[in-house]
Amino acid sequence: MSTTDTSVAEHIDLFRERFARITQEVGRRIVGHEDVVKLTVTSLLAGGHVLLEGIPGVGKTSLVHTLADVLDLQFSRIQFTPDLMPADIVGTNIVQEHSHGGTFFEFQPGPIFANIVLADEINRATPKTQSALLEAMQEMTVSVGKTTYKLEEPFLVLATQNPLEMEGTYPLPEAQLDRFFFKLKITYPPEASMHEILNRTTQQTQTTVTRVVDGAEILEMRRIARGVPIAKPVQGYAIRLTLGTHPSSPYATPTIKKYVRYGASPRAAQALVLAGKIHALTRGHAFVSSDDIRAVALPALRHRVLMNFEGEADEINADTLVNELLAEVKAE
Amino acid sequence: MAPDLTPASSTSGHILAAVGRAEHVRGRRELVRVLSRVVPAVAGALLLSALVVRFAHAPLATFWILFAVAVTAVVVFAWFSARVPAVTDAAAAQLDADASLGGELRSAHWFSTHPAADAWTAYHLDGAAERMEQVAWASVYPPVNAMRTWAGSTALVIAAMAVMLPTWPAARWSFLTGRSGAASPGSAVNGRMMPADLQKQIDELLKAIEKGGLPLDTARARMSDLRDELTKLDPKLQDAMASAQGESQKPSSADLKSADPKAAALADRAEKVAEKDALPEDMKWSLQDLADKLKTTSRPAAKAGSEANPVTKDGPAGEKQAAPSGQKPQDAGAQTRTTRADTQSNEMMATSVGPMGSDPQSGGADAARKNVARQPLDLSAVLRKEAVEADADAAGANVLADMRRKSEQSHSTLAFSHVAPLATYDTSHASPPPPPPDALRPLVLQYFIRR
Repeated sequence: MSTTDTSVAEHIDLFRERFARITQEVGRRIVGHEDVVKLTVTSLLAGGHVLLEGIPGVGKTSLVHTLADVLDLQFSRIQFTPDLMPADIVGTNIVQEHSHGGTFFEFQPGPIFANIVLADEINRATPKTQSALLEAMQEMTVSVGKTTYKLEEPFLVLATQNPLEMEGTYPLPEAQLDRFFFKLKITYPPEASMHEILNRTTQQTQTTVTRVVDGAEILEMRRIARGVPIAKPVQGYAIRLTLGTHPSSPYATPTIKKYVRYGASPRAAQALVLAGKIHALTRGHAFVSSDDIRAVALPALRHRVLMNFEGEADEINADTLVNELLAEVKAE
Repeated sequence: MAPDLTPASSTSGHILAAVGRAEHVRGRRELVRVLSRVVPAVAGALLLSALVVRFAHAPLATFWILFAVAVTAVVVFAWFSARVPAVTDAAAAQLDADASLGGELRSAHWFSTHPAADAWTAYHLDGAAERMEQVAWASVYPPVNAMRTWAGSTALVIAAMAVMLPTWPAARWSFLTGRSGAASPGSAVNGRMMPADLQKQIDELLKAIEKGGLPLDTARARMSDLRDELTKLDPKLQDAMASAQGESQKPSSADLKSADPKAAALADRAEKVAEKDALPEDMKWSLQDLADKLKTTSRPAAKAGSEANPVTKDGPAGEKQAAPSGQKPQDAGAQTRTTRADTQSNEMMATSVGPMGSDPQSGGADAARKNVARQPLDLSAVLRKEAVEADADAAGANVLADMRRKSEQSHSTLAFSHVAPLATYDTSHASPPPPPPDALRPLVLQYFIRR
């Protein structure tokens, strides 16, 4: 094994060790939802944002809080309400007085200026306020007035939302949905996990977590993940899956052709490949296989499929369509 | 020290070679698997075609052409399939899935064919090469156990070739097809060909009679012997042919082409010799009978059958047979349809086989004999006709023939040189024959008692 091989092997081991450390530490507080935790960390390492969807009380906010505690990063929380304004998120210029007299405008950063931003119940805010996150999520910058402020990396938006059919919610615009790397669904924990949750939360001793990874280490992990090579046929599989969500695509299933209005954007293919690389690294592989792509296809594609009227009327689930697509489109 | 980021070409080559070997193993197994399904079907089809060719009396070349085409197709298919083309990504993915390598082989194969100068690719290829060395492809693709299939296919092919052997008893199976084996060219028709030595003997006898140097008694004896030989010439086959000719009225072209020209020439010569006035009457008759037998022998089976058929309209044939006796030519059909006593007696006489059973004036006595042999005798009708003829006391046209036949016996050279003593029987062990069953008694009485 050459020096280069040793270096790559060390990188892989380092990545795996840190990844495992983060998930294990999060797992000390969050019971169950191991897959959600792994995918959330995957999104963090890919530089993407996560939309967590679930009914109230299943641990969405706790997950984000725990992740912020584990990572040695600056954390902020925004509680989205219908009367929340964009300036409440990005910040605003306020009038200040000089000590020697006179006034001037000074930018007061909003809660968006943090490494990990929890946008709690994001769909309770109006679309105008929701759109305040668009620039930050995509460009990592915030423009206020004539000034553009750059956000510090790593920057991760973890948004939670309740199911859309609940009252007092505003559906996220497609442009913002597309900016989320993953959409993760948090379901009720199983009975065994419920026992553990009660044990940890109803006793005197509170579970504490320690910070295991800092921002620099996360950026290094991002760099390592992007170095994993992917063969063109495997990349082609990711592209075919992305194109298959479009009703006009030859890879689309009959159900997709019937119920889907718009399919996933190229961001979905980027998410598939990046997440596939991280998934491969977590398995100790220095290559991406179609299995890696398949493992991350559902969270990467489900929120990027826009139903038509017929799909909405028949209450078609996007997960069903994506699973059909995975069964239909062959890796070879 | 700067790291070497170029993936070792030897590693890529090693991976490509390993993938090629694995694909070869997989391809061979797949080929054997496909052949184990195709070859028995082909062998079965060959056997079926052999049976069809044999029983349908199709040209034997048909089977051998099919055999050659089938063998060539299988060989060409195997040759094309055995070639190892460039391993595609799909083939690599298939190998990867079969060996449960988790996509490593497929990815490594692609990077081997598309080298990338980075450390990750080199590491990936090194790892893939090491892992591929640990794969036992023989266990991933175990050989197909098709010994029973091969044995069965071989047995089918051997059976097909056995069916096509010339010694195959097709005639034995003719009842299945309702056709006689004699209808096939080169088998039974050729069996009617007169032996060469018999032809030679007839030729020598005719020459001797023409020259007149042969004593009459010797000529009669030899003539009788030769006529016996001609009559005995494959009688079973001729009877079988006579029975089959009732179904195939029209002679095939193959049958017509199978006539024996030498026998026909000898028949003509015998007829010419018989026309000599110097010969005694019985000698002329014997020569004419010999000519008739030669004609029968030389004639194709189907044609002979058509002449023997009572309902045939083959007038010229009947005329030709009646011509040597100097009588007026008459329709062959009329010879058997007439109620005159001479014809009826001919039919009765035709049931016996031998020189005495033939009538030179009956226009094809042998054919009539075959016809009678083919059809069940209506004894009551015949007996009734004989009774009518006896009452009428009419002399038939064959009175002269009867006289000749009787006079021929006086010219026989056969004599008994030794008479065996009379056998003694122990009558104590004898028992009277059983009485006829009561159910058959009226029929027996009706048969033997003329009304």
